[in-house]
Amino acid sequence: MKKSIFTFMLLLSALVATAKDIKTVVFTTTPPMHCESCENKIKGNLRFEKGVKAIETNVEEQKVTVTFDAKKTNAEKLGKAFEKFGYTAKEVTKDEKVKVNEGEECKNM
Amino acid sequence: MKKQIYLIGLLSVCANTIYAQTQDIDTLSSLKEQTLEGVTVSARANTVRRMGGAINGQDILRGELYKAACCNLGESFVSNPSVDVNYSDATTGAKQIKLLGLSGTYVQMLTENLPNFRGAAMPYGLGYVPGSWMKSLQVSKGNSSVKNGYEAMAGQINVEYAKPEDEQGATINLFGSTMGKLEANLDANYHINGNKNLSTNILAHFENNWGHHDGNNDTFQDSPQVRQYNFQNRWLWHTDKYILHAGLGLLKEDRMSGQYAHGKHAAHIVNPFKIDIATDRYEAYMKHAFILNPEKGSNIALLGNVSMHKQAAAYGAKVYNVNEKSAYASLIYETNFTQAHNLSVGLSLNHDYLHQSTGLQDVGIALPNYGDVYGIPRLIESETVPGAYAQYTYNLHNRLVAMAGLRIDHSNVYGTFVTPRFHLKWTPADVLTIRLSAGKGYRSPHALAENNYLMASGRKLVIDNVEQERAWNYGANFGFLIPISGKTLKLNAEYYFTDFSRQTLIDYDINPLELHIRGSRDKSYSHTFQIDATYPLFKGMEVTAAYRYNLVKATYGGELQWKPLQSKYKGLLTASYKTPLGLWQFDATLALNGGGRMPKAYLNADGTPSWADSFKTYAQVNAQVTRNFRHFSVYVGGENLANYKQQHPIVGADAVWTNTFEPTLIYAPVEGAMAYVGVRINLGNRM
Repeated sequence: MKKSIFTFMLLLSALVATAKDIKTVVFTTTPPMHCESCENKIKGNLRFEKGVKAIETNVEEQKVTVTFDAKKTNAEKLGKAFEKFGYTAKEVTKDEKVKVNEGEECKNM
Repeated sequence: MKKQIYLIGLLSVCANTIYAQTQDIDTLSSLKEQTLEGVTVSARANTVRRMGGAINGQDILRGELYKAACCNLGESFVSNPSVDVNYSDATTGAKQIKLLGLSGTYVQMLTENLPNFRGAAMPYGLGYVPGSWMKSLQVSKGNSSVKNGYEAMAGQINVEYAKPEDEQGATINLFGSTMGKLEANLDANYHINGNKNLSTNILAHFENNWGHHDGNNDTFQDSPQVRQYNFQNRWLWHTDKYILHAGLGLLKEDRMSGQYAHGKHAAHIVNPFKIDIATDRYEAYMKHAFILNPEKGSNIALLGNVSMHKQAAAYGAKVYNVNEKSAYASLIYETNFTQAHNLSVGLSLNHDYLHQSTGLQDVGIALPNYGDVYGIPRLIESETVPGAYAQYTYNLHNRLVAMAGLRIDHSNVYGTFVTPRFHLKWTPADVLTIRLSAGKGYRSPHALAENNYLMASGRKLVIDNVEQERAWNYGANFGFLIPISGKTLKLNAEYYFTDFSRQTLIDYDINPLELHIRGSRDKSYSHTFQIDATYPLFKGMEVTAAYRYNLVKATYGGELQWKPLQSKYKGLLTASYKTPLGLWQFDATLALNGGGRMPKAYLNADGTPSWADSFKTYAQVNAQVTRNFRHFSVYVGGENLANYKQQHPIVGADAVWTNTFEPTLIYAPVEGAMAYVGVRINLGNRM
C-alpha cells in the first residue's frame, strides 16, 4: 500500500512539473469585427499560432479572448500575430468597454 | 498493478478538467444558437443546410464535401442518405445517381441553375465535375420549380462552382490513390483592379488513372483507365442595376478498359474485348440580370447556355459515335408585389440535336446477333421545345409558403404538354416544419445516347416504342427540431411517391439474352420512405443516422416486379469530429445497402442459372482524417474499408463474343478497399 501511495505522489508531481500554464488574454482589433466573416477570419488564422488553446470572439463587445499555454507563447507574441493577416491588436482587460465605430463597411463580406 | 493503472487513469481525467476554462460568450457560436422556449441550442458550423422555401432540399457546402475527399460529383454523396451512386457497369466506370430509387435520368442536373449534362453526357457526366471546383451542391427531392423546366421527375441537383468574386487567390489540390489514380486541380481567381465586381476565375483539372488491376482474375480491368483534362473560365460583372455571369468550358477525356492482355492469365487472349471512349465537350453560358426595382426585388433575367458533346465509343465490336449540340435560353421576370406575394413568369427555348451513328467493327472473330441497332450510318434526333411558365408564391412571414406553378411547352416531336406543380411549406410551431409537394414531370428520352454504356453488354439490343416519359410525383416531409439535453436533434421523416404513366424502361427480364430499351405504359412506380436524424453528441462531434426504404416496381418481362439491381433499403451512420480549434477533423461513414432482385438469369450448359436471383445486403465503410495548417491542409482516407467486392461482376468473361457476355449487372463496388492521400494548398488571400 505504501508503495502505491509513493508511486501516486511521484506521478502527481511529475504531472505537475509537465502541466501547462494556461493563461487568458483579451484583445480588441483594428479594423474592428463587423460580422461572422470577420470573426471567422480572425479565428481561422490565429488558431495556427503556437500555444493557442482556444479563441472566442465577441462582436458586440469587440473583444477577442485567447486562451494559451504560457510556456509556449505570451500575450505580446499573440498580439503581433494579428499582423500576419492584416489586423492590429491592442490588449485590453476583460471588463474594459471598447468604443465601436458605427457605419464602417465590412471588407470581408 | 491494477490499482496503479486505475490511479493513472483517474489522474489523467482530473488533469484534463484542470484545463477547462469558464468560457465567455462567444458571438460566433451564439449566432448559431436558437432559443427554443428557454432551451439554448448550439452546434458546430453547419456544412449541410436546409434550403429555405417550400422545396424539400439540402444545401451541401464545401465543409461537407471535404469530409470525404470526393474526386468528382459522382463521389460527393458518400455521406448523403438520400442519394445513391452506383457504377453502371464494371467495364466503362459510368456512374449513375439514384434518387428515390429511380435512375439518374429522372434527376435534372443543373450547373449554376442552368440545365446541363443532358443526352449523351449523362452516363459519364458525374465525372465531369471535379470535387474541388464545387462551392456547394443543392439536392432537392420531388418536383422542382417550373422555372427550371418540365424535367426533374425524381429531383434536381444543382452544382455551384467556385465563384470569381470569392476571396482572391488560388487553391491547388493534389490527390493520389492506391488504385493508381492521380489528380491535380487548380482554382484561381482575380479581382480586376481590386474590384470584386469585375472578376474572373479559372478552374483546371487533370486526372490520370493508369491502374490495370484485376483483383478478381476475370481478365478484365476492375476500373477503366481515364485521362481527363478539364478547364473552365468564368466571369462576373456586377454594377448597380446589372449583373452578368458568363463562362466557357472545355473537356477532353479518354477512357479505356476491357481485357488486359498483359497479365499472366491473358497470354492466351487472342481477341481481347476492349472498350475505348473518347469525349470532347465544349460549353458556354451567360446569365444577364437587370434589376428594375431593388425594393420590390423586380428583375428581368436572360439566361442561356450552349454545349457541344462529341463522343466516339467502341464497346468490343460495337461502335457508337455521337455529336450532340444543345442550346437553352430563358427569359424570366420576377417581382414581389408585397412581402407576401411573389410572381415569376418566363419564356424558354430548348433545342437538342443529336447526330449519332452505330456500326460493327471487325475484331477477327465471328459475332453473335447484337440486334438491329448496329450498322446505322445516320441516326438523327432533333427536338425544339419553346415554352412559357407562370409561378406564384405566397409567403406568410416564412411560416406558410405556398408555391404554385404552371408550364406549357410545345415539342416539335411530342406535341404540347402542360406541367403543373405545387409546393407548400408550413411551420405550425418552431419544432415542426411540414413540406408537401405534388406535380408532373416530363422527359424526352434519347435511348441510345443516354444508355450507350449498355452496349458493353453482349445481349441483343432491342429498342422500341420510345416516347416521352411522364410521371406524377407526390411528397411529404416532416422536419423536427427536438431539444434534447440542451442541444437540438434534427429529425426528418419523409415519403415520396412517383407514378409513371409513360416510362422508357431498361428491361433485362424479357429474355436473358436480350436487352430491351422500351417505351412502356405499364404500371411503374416508386415509394420511398426515409427517416434521418442528426445530433451533436458532444462539443465538436456530430452524428447522423438514416434509414431509407425503396419500394420500386415496374413491369419487367411482362409482370410487375421489383426493379432489379436496386437495394430495397439503405442504412447510414456518419460521425464527424472536429477538435476545438478545428486543426484536426475525423470523418467516418458506415452504409448498409440492403439486398435486391437480380434480373432473370439464363441457364448455363450444365443447367445451373448463370447468377443468383437476388443479391445480399452488404456494408461499405469510408473514413478520412484531415489536418489543417495555416496555408494548406493534408488528408488521408480510405474507401470501402470493409473490402466488399461484388463476386463475378462480369458474367461470361470466358466467352466475351457471345450474347451471354454481361458486364452491366452491377449492384456493389467492383474494386476492394482503397486508400488515398491529398493536399490542398491555399495561396493569396485565401485562408
